[in-house]
Amino acid sequence: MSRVVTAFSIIAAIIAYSFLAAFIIRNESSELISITDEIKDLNKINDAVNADAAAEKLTEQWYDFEKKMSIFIRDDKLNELSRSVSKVRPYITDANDELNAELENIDRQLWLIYRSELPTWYNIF
Amino acid sequence: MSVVFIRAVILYVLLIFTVRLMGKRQIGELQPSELAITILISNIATLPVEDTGLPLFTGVIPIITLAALDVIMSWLGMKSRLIRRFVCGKPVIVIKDGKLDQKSMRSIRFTTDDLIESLRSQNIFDISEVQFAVVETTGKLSVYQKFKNRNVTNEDMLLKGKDEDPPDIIISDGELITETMDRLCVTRQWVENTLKKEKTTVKNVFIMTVSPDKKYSVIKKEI
Repeated sequence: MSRVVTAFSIIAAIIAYSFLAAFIIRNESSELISITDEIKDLNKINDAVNADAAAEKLTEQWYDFEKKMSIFIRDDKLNELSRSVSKVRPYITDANDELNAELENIDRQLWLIYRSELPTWYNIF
Repeated sequence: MSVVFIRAVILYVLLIFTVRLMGKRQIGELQPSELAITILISNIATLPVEDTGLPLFTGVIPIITLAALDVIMSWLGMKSRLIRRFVCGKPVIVIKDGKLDQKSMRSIRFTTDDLIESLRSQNIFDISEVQFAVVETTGKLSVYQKFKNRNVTNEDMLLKGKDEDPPDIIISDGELITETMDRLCVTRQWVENTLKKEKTTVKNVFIMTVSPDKKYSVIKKEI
């Protein structure tokens, strides 16, 4: 009987873990997305100094996110995002036109990571 | 490289836990679904070791989920005959009243070669010796021989004797096994006194077995 109790406990723990993973990813992603939105707004008004400060914050936050998320997410997805995040500061400094596209790319990839954790029909099948 | 090593160690511990959770069964005794799960688990376990880009949990979660579901299904099978039938199937009689049931054999795709091979593995080389045979859910063939071919038993010979449990080990490589001692109602004092008669001590005994009627056998350490 102890085996059955252990088995049920394991299933319960895994279900809880899955929801927790989705919750943590959503929370952490929305923090990053709010920073990218801030950078977009600052870029619109050509405030490069504050945009750079926000980009620095984004990079720091990203390292934290990457460390936490490596438990749940494949390396290749995180590496792709890492490359995009690393481009933000140089783009601000050079006033590169592709900054907005890169920020959109970060937003989109974060959303895709979150979506991949949801038990939807699309993900399961 | 150290990542692979640490992951291998973690998965080794996890697999031991998983196998213990699934319970004691030999490969030959596994139900087909259990065998498939065991193979699947061993395959999944290799994924996070081979690919360090995958989070360890990608391997851990399916392994423990499959093991837990296996335990739960076995438990449900104990509770419901219907579930047991669904998961394990049912035994199929292939020889009845000494006659081969070809229809049943065909329905489970049990070939004549399978039948003869299974009979041979039970030292039966002539199919006409078989009165009744069943293909169990594990795929094993259980055979009941005709009266003239069955082994003679003590009962047939009208021999008298007691029904008792076999002897069990109470000292293994110089260590007392208290669990067995309790079961056989043997005290440490009795063991020490017995060994004194044999001019030895617990530490110097390789194996000591005791039967329920306190008959014992001692093998001393040679090295």
